[in-house]
This record gives sequence, structure tokens and C-alpha cells, in this order.
Amino acid sequence: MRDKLFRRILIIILIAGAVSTGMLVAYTYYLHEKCSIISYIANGG
Amino acid sequence: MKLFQQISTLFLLTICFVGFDISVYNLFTKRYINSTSEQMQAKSIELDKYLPFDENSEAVKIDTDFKLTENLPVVDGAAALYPVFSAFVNAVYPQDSVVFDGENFTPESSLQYTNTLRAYKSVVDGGADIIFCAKPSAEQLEYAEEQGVELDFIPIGHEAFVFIVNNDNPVENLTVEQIRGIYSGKYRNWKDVGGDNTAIDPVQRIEGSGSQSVMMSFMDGIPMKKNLFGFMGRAVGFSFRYYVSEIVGNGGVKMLSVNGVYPDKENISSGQYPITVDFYAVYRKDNPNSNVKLLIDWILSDDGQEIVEKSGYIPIK
Repeated sequence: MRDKLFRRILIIILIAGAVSTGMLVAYTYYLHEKCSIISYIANGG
Repeated sequence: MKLFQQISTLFLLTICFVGFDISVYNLFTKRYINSTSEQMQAKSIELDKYLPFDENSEAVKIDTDFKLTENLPVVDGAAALYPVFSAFVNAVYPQDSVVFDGENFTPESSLQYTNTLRAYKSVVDGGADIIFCAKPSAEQLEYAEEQGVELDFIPIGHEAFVFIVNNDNPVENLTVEQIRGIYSGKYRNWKDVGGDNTAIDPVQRIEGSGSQSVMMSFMDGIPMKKNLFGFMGRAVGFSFRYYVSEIVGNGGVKMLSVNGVYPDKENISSGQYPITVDFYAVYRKDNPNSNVKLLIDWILSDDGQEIVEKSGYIPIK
């Protein structure tokens, strides 16, 4: 694999990974703000 | 060889991201998914389920001779007590006094619902004439004092304050001392109180909510601490019996016995269950509306107390 192609794929994976993790964390925080104690405990908390 | 290293690097990096996201989802995200309706999430109760004057409503309906037709006190209160004060309105108020737009009560409605936090502010500011709530927090009392308002608290019924855990938690009973120990940080592992070897996550509510104020009173001045690693284990929380068992009715949680006594109606009525709280009709002492006191007198009468009992609470008399 040419170095240039490798770097491009690497950057795409890094960006996709960072974006998906960021969205997951944001979604988790959103749920945390809305979740009741009862739902939290019922979900296994 | 170089190609193999490059592909391995890309593959490992992808696996790391996917693994990290799956861990976050399983450890945190999954636990916060609310299984209740949108309205329940937003308001802690489904208002239309207990709407007065609605034939499909689950609010208790009784016949009474006492009726109010004018100068109707605006009533408001806690989520857990909404079925009760909605039933009071249903029995005593004229039908056109309640206006519900499908999501909220409109400003001209004599029945309002803003939950404990805002209801205490509303009664002090004069928005509501009577609110139905548990004890106020120190901040709520302080706010009334700052505004130069004296509030009267009339007990109209009582209820058990309960502790809940996940159904899979093998613990069925805690003592008062153990509960205080869990919330003060003395016990951080369920094995210390007869359970599995896993961390305890003592969850709390926001300050000013009815159950949080009762919990702070129950702790009797002992500061409450969170367990930093509690999220790795199993949680314990608190609420009111009727709210847990009837209003929410989530089969994934169970109520614990306290000092060996289960919080059912019989044990609460007999006084055996050790943590019961009164709930109150709260109004400003200087409220000029004479119907406020008339309504409260009726709530304390046999008819009013019948509503309290049929709604699932324990009458005060």
C-alpha cells in the first residue's frame, strides 16, 4: 500500500472513530439528563 | 511486510474504536435508556392518565355534596400526588375549570401540575393557592422566608418512603443503619450489607424534589456521598411506595424491606414500616380566598379521605 493511501485511510478511521465516540458520549449524556432513578435501576444500574 | 503492518495498524485502530464504543454503551449508555413514555420522562407522570372529568381517567371518582363554583383555589403539586389532587378537583370543581391542551394545563386552568420544585415557588409567589407535596427542602423554606411568606402545612395523608434495587439484586432487606451507612459512604460494597461482592451505587435525585428532601431529612444531618466507582456495580435508589408500585410500575425494580418490614399498605397503616412520611396541603397563611380552608376541611372529611385511600395512599385519619 502506498504511504499516501495508508495515511488517508488512517485519517478517515481516526475521524470516523472520534466522531462516533463523540456522538455516543453526547447521546449518553443526553440520556443521563432525562433518565429517572427507577429506569436507571431497572436497566441494571 | 510493510503492507501487512499497515493493514494490521488500520485493523487494530478500528477494533480499538469499536471496542471502546461498545464498552461505553454497555457500561453507561444502556443504563440510561428510559423505558417510559415521552410524557413520563418530561413530567414524571402521564397527566392524561389521571385527568379529571375524563371518562377513561384512572383518577378516583366519588360523589360528594361539597361543591365549589367560584373563587376556585388553583391547585398544584408533586407528581406522586397528582392522581390525588386531580381526584379532588374531579369531585369538587366544575368541569370547565380545568383546561388541558393535550400536553399541559393552560394558565387559566384551576388544576396545574408543575411538580414539587416549581410548586413550592408557585405557592409562595401566589401562582397556586394550595399545593400537595411532601416536606419542603431547607432552600424552599428559605425562599418563603425571603419573600416574607408564611406557609401552613396541613397533613392530609401518609405514605412509605421506600428504597429500590434491581430485581436481580439478591438483597431483600436493609436496616435503617445500613441505609444511612450506604448513603454516607460507610458501606461501599453490597457484600457489606448481605449482598454480592459488587460496588454499591447510591443514587440521589435533584435537590428540592420531594423525595430528595425526605431523604435528607432521613439522613438526619449525615452528609450523603457518592461512590466514585458505583457505576461498576448495582444501584440503590429511593422514592415513594405508590409512585414506584402504581404510577411507574416498572417490573425491573423491587422495593426493599426495612428493618425486616415490607412497605405494603398494612404495614404502613399499622406503623410497623419504619419510614413513613406525611404529605401536605400547603398554602399561604395570608391567602384571602376563603375557599382554600373550606377545600382543605373537605379533604380532611370522610369524603376527602376516601379519595386519599382509594388513590392508594394512607388516610391521615
